[in-house]
Amino acid sequence: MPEISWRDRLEPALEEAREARKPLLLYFWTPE
Amino acid sequence: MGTVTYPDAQVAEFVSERFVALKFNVKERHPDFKEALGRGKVLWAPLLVFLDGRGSELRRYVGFLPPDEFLAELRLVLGMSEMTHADFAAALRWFESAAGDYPDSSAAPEALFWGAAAGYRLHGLAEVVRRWDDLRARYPETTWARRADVVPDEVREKIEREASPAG
Repeated sequence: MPEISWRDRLEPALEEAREARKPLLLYFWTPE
Repeated sequence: MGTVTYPDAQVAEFVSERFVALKFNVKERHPDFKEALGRGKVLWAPLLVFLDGRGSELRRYVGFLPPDEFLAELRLVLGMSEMTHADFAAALRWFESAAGDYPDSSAAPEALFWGAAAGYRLHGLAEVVRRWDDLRARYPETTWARRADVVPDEVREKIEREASPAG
C-alpha cells in the first residue's frame, strides 16, 4: 500500500512546495 | 490519515503525488507548530490546513472525511492553488474533476462555484452566469446555489443582447 511521506519541518516543506508548485498539507492530529 | 482516510490507498497515492505533507501531533511540542498553525487554533482534531508555497492559507477544515469526500476536497484545494498561480485553465480542470468525478460529495457544489470563478477569469461574465445557472440546477438546495443566485435580470439581458448576432 502506498504511504504518505510526511516531512518533519515547515520551512523545507514550504521550499519543496514552492519548487514543485504543490500545495502544502498540514495535518494536526491527536493520538486518541 | 487517522482511522478513516489514511488507510485508503488511493488517498495516500494522491496526496503523495500532488501535495507536500507535514503532520503535527497536537499533544507534542513541535518547533514549527505555531508558525504552521498561523493565527488559528486547533479547537478539534484532526484539523487540516492547506498552504501555498508562500505560506498563504488556501483552505482549512476540521474532522475526518470518507475517502471519496476527501479526494474531492483535495481536488478543490488543487484548483484553488492553481488560481493563486493565475493558471485558470488548470484550476478549472481541478474544479471540474472534483464535481464531475465526485458528484455526490459535499465539495461538488462548491467546486462548481469556484469553477464559475475560474471560468469568469477565462471567458468573462457570460461564463460565470452560465456556470452558476448549472450549479443552481444541479444542487438547488445547497448554500453554494444560494450564493450563485445573485445575477440581476439586467445583467442577463445585457449578456443576451451581446450574444445576439443582431447586437
